[in-house]
Amino acid sequence: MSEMIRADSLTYRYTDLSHTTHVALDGVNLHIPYGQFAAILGRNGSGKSTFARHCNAIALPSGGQVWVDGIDTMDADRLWDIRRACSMVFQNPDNQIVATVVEEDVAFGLENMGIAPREIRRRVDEALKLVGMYDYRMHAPHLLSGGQKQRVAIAGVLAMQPKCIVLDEPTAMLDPKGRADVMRVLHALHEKQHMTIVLITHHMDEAVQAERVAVLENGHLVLDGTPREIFVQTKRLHSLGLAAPQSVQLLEALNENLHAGLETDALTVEECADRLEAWLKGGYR
Amino acid sequence: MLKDITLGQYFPGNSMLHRADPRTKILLVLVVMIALFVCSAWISLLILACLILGMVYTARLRLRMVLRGLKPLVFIIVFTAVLNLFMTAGEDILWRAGPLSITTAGVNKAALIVVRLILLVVGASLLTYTTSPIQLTDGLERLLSPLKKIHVPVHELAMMMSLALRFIPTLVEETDKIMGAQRARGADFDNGNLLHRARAMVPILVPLFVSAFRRADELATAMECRLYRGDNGRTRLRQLKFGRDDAKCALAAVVFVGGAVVLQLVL
Repeated sequence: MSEMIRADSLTYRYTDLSHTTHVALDGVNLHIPYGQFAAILGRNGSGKSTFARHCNAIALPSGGQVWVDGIDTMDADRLWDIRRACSMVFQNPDNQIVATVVEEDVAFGLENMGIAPREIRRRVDEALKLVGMYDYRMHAPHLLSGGQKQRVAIAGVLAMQPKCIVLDEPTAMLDPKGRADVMRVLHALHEKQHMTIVLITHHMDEAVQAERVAVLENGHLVLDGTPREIFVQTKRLHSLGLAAPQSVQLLEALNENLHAGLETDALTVEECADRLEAWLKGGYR
Repeated sequence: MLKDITLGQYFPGNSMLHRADPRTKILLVLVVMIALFVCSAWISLLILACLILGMVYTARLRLRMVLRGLKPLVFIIVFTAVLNLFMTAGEDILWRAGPLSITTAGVNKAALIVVRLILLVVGASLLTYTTSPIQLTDGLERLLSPLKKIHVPVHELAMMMSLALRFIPTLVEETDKIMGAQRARGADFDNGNLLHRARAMVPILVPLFVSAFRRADELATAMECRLYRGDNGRTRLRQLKFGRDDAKCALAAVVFVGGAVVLQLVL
């Protein structure tokens, strides 16, 4: 019946050291159904990380309500159920890896859950294979690359078999190869395991791959829709401090300068190339 | 330069000693240490030396490596030896100069203390050479777990220790980075007197501390997200089990230590 994550007029206020009150989230209504791959965009300070922290009760709403897997996050007795249903991966992989051996780190959550050792072994191996880090299971985490560390961190939450993974800018500190590897893992999880994925990001090319894009600005939800609906609004995005994908920008520039009359909703390089090919073959003037 | 720091001096291997349960090793080292202090007869010490050197051989550790571990303790060993040499009262005086005198009892005692200390250090380093720091923490946690009944936070201490081990390389890397950044701004860490150099460390330590606290905060959140709530109903991936290797080690220790103690009592 309910959604995986359901935020109703969620408001979050905090007071800083100089006793000024800030409103990080202001009446956000966002419902994420089971099995969706949602991207949350926004510039720095837009409240997107704060929203992520509400998804597994690290932060609790000052106003409004958040339900995770049908449980109100204010229900302190069910805190562990919430965190079991919805896991979180953070930006800096170094600060979330606990153990000195990769497989021990993946086992950490399971050990906390009190799972039997044999079952831990099975789930750890399975999770490491899913993220493609099985060959590194005996390595020391500090010798891995950023992308590899982040995949270990994902394996760590995956082993706990949550229904939903919330990732707070997981690729911000990675090189392009590491980013691509992490994104591949996320898509595999979404497609094969039907896992709900909430990806907080400021990379447009990552958001383009999601099923749904929500944009936050100043604590308000300002845009919400499919990538195709969102990314053609170049002017609006620009005013929100975000850039549309380069393919859309290129087609728009052609329309403006050459009156090419192209459909601008090409989100990937391939789509863009197809449009251009058709246009050129049609004999542009 | 900071990359060269190794901690715990663990040498990976697959010998009987490497495979043995850390708890067995910790207990055996304790037993051997006590035996070393109980025994004062030379024959007993010889037997204990055979046990320790035999273990070094089984663990395939190079003798030179083991002896290198003695280096920082040379001063203490020489100091106690000299003290014993001159300060032991006895009847047959071998040499005398003013208030100083050397007696046969003194020579005997000094030699005894040197052998004891060397065996003690080699025996203890056997433990750290053959056991990874994480195994050592695990073993200590299990061994001390009865103390939980009197509210000693054994699990928390072990967790802190393993987190410290986890973050040493990360913080070392960060220190390197900060030093590089300060050097690029003209900081000089290698010249000047001690005070000058100590002062040059301040701009390294301040950012390092700030970042360490930030890391600790993030780590705590991440651990909570992964359902960490202390020792409550926690299981472990790696179960410690006593096996055949433990029996072999224990048997060797019992035979040798037993022999040494019996001879000590008889003689």
